[in-house]
Amino acid sequence: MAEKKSWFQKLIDRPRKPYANPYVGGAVLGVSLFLSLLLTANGLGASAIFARTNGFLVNLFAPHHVDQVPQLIKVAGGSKNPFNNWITWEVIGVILGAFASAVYFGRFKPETPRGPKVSEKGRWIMAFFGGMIFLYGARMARGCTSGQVLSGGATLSAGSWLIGLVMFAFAFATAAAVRKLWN
Amino acid sequence: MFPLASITALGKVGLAIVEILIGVGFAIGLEISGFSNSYVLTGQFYFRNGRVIKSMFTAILVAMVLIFGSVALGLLDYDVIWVDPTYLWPGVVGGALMGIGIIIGGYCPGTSLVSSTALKKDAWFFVLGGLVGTFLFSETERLFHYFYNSSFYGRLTLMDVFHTHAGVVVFGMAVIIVATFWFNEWAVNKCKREDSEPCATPRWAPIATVAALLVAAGVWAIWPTWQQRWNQVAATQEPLLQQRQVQVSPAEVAVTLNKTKPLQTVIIDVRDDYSYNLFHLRWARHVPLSQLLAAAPEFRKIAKDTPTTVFIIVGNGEKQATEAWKMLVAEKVPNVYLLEGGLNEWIETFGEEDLAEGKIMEAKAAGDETLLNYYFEAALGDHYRSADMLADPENDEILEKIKDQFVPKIKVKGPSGPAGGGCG
Repeated sequence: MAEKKSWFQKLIDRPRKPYANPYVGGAVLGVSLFLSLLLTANGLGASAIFARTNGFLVNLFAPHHVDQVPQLIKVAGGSKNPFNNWITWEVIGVILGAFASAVYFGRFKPETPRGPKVSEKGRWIMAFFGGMIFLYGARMARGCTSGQVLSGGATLSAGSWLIGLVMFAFAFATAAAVRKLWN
Repeated sequence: MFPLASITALGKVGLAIVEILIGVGFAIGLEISGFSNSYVLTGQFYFRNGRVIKSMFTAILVAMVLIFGSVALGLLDYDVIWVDPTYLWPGVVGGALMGIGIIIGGYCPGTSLVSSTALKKDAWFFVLGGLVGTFLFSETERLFHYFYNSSFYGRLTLMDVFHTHAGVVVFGMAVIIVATFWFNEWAVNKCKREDSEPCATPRWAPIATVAALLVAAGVWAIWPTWQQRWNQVAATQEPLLQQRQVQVSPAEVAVTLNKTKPLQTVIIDVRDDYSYNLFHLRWARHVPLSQLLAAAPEFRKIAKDTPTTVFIIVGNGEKQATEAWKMLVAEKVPNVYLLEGGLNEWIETFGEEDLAEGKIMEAKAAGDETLLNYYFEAALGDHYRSADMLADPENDEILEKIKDQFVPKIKVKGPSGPAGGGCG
């Protein structure tokens, strides 16, 4: 007799479908970005939610400290609610959209994508430190791949194009330096 | 005009719903491109696949053409939408760190959120590490606060860098993006490895290339001339001319030039060389009408750097100055006025001594508004008492006399900044 699956397991067990043509995926991104600027004057963003979550957490544990750090005053100073910002709604949408797309196309699966020479735990550690480096850089550059490279790129910001070029150059150089990580 | 029209119409709740829907589209675009998986995402950087370049650059191309097509048609106000300001060196350092982070971490912030939702465990660790990195940045920023705020160029666009209008830049960027696609396709096919995904250049690639370039060229073709842009704003601006709210009397100009108000006054003399050499105001910038359009970005920059700048256009009469006024207003230079009655009225107001000395003689016959109504003993430029209301102490008397004899028209409006915020 077949075991009765939970609804969650059913979502995970949906058959994996191939990814779309990335040119099509890019067009979906482009239209979303255009509608965002047209309707709300904002581009797309992602690193801002990290900054606001950070502000929220520091405010939770050390509320007095917030008012001494310029980066935190901006998002959580005084009685400011760090999540009272357009980025919060956008990220709720991102999570909904990612869930729907991943489930529909059978890619909603607990797994650790990694290079063949890297252990699961090793990959987790790299992801942690990579995320740390990335977000430190994203705060320094005042935006990440979405806020700077995509949104600033499409609105023809000079600084964003420079950031995008430097980022790609360093990504290719780093990739060559750590081939074993992904090959 | 968007985006202000939709922001007003949608209200707080409507905007929140729109943001959620945009987030959904954003995530689907990332997920179907393959970015809910770090192995697929990093594949770009070994040319196992070309997904990052294909997806990101298509997104930029599509959004860019739609944005600037809408701006050209007068649907979207480019001055109001968020354009990331440029901080050169912090951007370079940040970009370098992001490049390192994306390879080690396997994600960027947006894709880590998508992948976390798709239950990729490494993405959970990326998000955790990202929060730690954000925390470290906010705690250490004080150590390099000066650097973090250095090399600030404001809202610097590629149009400012290349001194051209957006139609040309859109076409140029489209050429670069399409060339990058072809290089990327070539590199993926060349580095073909056993673990590469099947990724033959599609047969429709040449057609898509031509189509993309044609659409970008279309944005260039419909990019409005200043007259067309004037027509877009004429409904609100023409009445100011008709009601004579921007024609400033010589007395007010003289007082404005002299007052220690926190104002910066830029006199723009738009006449031909001949008239300019005969007589012009001291400190006037000579920009003949034919060169004014090219100088507009510089005036916009002056206004951005010093928001209390007032531009006063000077002609012989008002005809050329009015034309120039429309041009600068169409080009979105703020706080532009013109000299009432032109230099003819200026000399009539302040030229008494110069006329008495015989340096300037009246020429009643001249009726053409674009000409000077005076003869000049020699082309002395600004070497007339009436040309310089600043230096000559004897002029203080005149200024004292006229300072209450006009209804002031000059009002400095502050900058109208973007309504939105960036990744703040």
